[in-house]
Amino acid sequence: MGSDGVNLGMVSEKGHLDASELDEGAVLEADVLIIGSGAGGGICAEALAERNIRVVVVEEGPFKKTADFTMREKEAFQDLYFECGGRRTKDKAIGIFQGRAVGGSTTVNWTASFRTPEQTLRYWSNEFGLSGFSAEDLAPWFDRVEKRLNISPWLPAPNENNAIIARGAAALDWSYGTVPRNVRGCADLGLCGQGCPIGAKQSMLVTTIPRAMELGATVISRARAARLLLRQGRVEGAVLEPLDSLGRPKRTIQLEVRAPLVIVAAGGIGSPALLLRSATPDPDRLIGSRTFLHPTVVVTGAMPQQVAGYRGAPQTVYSDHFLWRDGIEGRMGFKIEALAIQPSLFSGLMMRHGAEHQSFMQRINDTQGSIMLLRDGFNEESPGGRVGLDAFDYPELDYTVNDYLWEGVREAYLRASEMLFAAGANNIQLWHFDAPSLTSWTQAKQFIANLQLKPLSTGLFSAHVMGGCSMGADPRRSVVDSRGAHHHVKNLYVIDGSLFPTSLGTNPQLTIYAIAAKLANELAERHWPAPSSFQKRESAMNPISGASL
Amino acid sequence: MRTISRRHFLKYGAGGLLLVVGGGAAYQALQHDWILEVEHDSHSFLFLTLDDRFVLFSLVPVLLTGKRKDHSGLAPEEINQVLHNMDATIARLPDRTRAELRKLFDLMGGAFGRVCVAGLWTSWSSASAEEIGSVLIRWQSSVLELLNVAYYGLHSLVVTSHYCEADSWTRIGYSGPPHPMRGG
Repeated sequence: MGSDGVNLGMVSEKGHLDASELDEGAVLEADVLIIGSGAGGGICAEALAERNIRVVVVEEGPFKKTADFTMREKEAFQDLYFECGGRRTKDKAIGIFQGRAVGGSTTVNWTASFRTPEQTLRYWSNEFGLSGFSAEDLAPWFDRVEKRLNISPWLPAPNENNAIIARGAAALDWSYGTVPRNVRGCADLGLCGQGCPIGAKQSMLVTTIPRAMELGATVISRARAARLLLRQGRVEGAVLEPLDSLGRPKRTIQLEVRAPLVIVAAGGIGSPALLLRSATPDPDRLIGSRTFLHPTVVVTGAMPQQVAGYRGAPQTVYSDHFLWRDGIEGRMGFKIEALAIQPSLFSGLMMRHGAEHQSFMQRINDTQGSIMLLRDGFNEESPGGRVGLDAFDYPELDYTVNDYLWEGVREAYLRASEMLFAAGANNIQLWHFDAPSLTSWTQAKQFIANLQLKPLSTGLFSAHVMGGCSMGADPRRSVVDSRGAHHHVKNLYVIDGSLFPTSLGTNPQLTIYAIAAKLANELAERHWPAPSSFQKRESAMNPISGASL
Repeated sequence: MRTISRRHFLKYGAGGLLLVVGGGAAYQALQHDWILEVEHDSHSFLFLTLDDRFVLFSLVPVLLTGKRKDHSGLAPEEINQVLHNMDATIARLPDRTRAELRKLFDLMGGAFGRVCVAGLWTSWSSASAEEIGSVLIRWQSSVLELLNVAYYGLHSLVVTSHYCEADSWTRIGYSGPPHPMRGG
């Protein structure tokens, strides 16, 4: 590779090009360029490749394979997450976990696969004028992707970390349920966040991406889309920056992919950032706004029994008892799920240092972790954050935590404490800098009522970045329409979690899969109305010229 | 033999030079024998300078255990391993974050910055665990963004760089990842 210059030899046998190994630039062409290989890009790639449409998929992260996954957090955070797992909002108040590898976050997520809540879909249709997004409209697409990715409720017994949630909820007569998961032959190892070492998780990495490659799609890994090529109101491709082995741009080389249709699927933060870097028409400054996070707080319980929260499927029990507690536009509700207790992740999220930190680490085996994911974006007091670009053209998310959100956090702390005491915890710990261990429900109730909630003292994180390229009927209020098509640029689509007009109130992967399947198939039918007349071509990789750019 | 000669070289030969180019932290650290543990580490660092590593050698044990290095129960190699892991992580961070961390380390390493940024009148290497602990709390709750970066950036880098290592697991009773049944 490399010394041959630009020819088909650049692409390894299976249609993969690792841009970090390139030593000269190239121009490639495709029918469709897909930027991002996660839940949105992966589904689009397969859907289009199946119609013999020549697809090039660009991914900023590395192309790791099942055999590469060591289950060790050390390699996983460095290789598979944006900013090594240490991404934060501008004021540092919210930590953000986002996958950055072929397969995107689906390579590292914890497999929870919920359909979009009907409340959310109704809100989208009513508030944002979406058409084709009712539960009935989406049902066949959900059926289809659930079958494709083997999604079904987890039947084996939950691990103790999850069983405690079920026990607490049952004792309080709260509703709770079993988490549907996208796995096939899962061995219950519990380290999904480090990449599945047996290929059981039906991520994009082992399903749609390899299938699309078999059908001729090319995947370019370790290349960042620097900007879209826009001309006279239409998109014509994108300029890519190859990255080095440390994931930093190699400024000396450029790749260019020319395609008459581009699907931006770089995820929340990534997709709006690309549109901003490309100076995409945006008369109302909407790109990057309404970015939602499901801001998440943590309460842990010191249990009398062994929990070993690092073993077994990480999320198998949930409770939506408080998700819609006050109606859709009322006070902020939350979903309760389990936090996998893995040493490095656990140590980094903990709002402690020194002797206290060490002593919590020493009790890792007896610790239950509960997370409360707050649904943001359903109230005018919950406008979400805004993605902007820093001096290096790298994205930065400005997300202000306000009193409306703090009220939700307080309620989440309260209910999680109640649940953990009901499940038999000896004491509980709010992951807040000023909170001592609380030894009874009465004490917890009183403490939480008076606790000062403010950024940085309150441990907040997110594993679900949504919005930023909002979908809607009105160009004055949204970036793309109900088809995912950009309001102002022809043949430019956004198909990923960034087009959600609000957060979901549940883990986003299945919603992204279903919406991507629907939008990709619909766009293929519009742009290539007669697939039968389409000649099958040799390969998606057919460089038209090559030179050091 | 080599150890002795290098140590003498460093103490009497390079010390003056380090004082000029490396600032106060390196000089203060020279007064301690464990400079050898930092200096003898042959790892090639991508981001952390010798001066950064002297500061971190004092800070890391307190952040992890609340105790100074000698009482922390951490072997010098373990602290060096944390530094290696931190370095590998920082090298992969975006330009903005690396620039923030560079600014921070430069301030921490110099006497002026140490007093102004950390409120620490003594050197990092002679500060007590309590003094360093107070610095951490001040950073956590500061209204200055740079100091919040100091706390949240360093906290997460240090603890995750330690607890991703198998040596740390035995101490907390974690048996490590299971053996997958490949193809099973």
